Amino acid sequence: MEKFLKTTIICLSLYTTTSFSDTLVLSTKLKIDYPNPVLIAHGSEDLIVKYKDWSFFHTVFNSKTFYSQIDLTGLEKDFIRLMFGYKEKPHFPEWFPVLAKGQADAFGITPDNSKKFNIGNSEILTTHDESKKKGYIFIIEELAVHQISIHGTQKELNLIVKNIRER
Amino acid sequence: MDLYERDDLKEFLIELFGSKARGWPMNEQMFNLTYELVIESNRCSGMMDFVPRPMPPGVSAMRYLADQARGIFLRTIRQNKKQYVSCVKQVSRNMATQFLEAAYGV
Repeated sequence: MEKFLKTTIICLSLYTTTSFSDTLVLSTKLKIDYPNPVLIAHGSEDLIVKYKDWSFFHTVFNSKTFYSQIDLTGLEKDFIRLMFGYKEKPHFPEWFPVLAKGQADAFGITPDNSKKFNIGNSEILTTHDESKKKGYIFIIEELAVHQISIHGTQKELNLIVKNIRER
Repeated sequence: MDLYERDDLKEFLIELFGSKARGWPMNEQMFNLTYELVIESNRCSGMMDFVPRPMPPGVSAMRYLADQARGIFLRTIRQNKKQYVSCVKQVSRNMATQFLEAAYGV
């Protein structure tokens, strides 16, 4: 009996340290299950989820404040897609692809380190710069664009990506 | 940093990150990140004049810079904030999370 109890306790503690008991609800259609963090901080628009060696941040892409001097309202989805190499549309203003390209360079987005796929009707675009240990996940939904920034390795970015699920 | 230097830094960061920067503490970490931002951007030629080269890696910019140089740097970015925000805006998006961590002390 004692042996059984010990085994049960060990199994339970192992389960607890690797469990995904926390869920971040992004919308009526999407959620992210994430491992238990060391701490969570919430600012006016940003959620910081911190672990011992890495962290991730969630914010809803704000077209008016992403750049303080440029309002991207109505162009936000195209802006994200352009950063990930989608083709320009003829009606774009001249400055717009240049801005997106410059931002893609700053984020370190290249064809080799980026991925695009869909979950339901949502587009997921990811990139990771291993040299800077920074990565980004953009989730384009019908009503909002989510930006998740990762301070960590590719492995940690993948951990979040694979736990984006439909609700 | 004295009171005026904190004000200069805050004015610049509000221009760069919007009104949420109003509540951020203006401390050594925030100054160092702003300084790193300038180095990273490498596009603001006027600002680069303030960057001592070579600067030892891992050294706090705030402690490395002479008080006078720090004051001139902060005054300059405040007085020309629109111009400087325009040239660091893209790199600043890649450092936004570091500024947030400093802001919330996490």
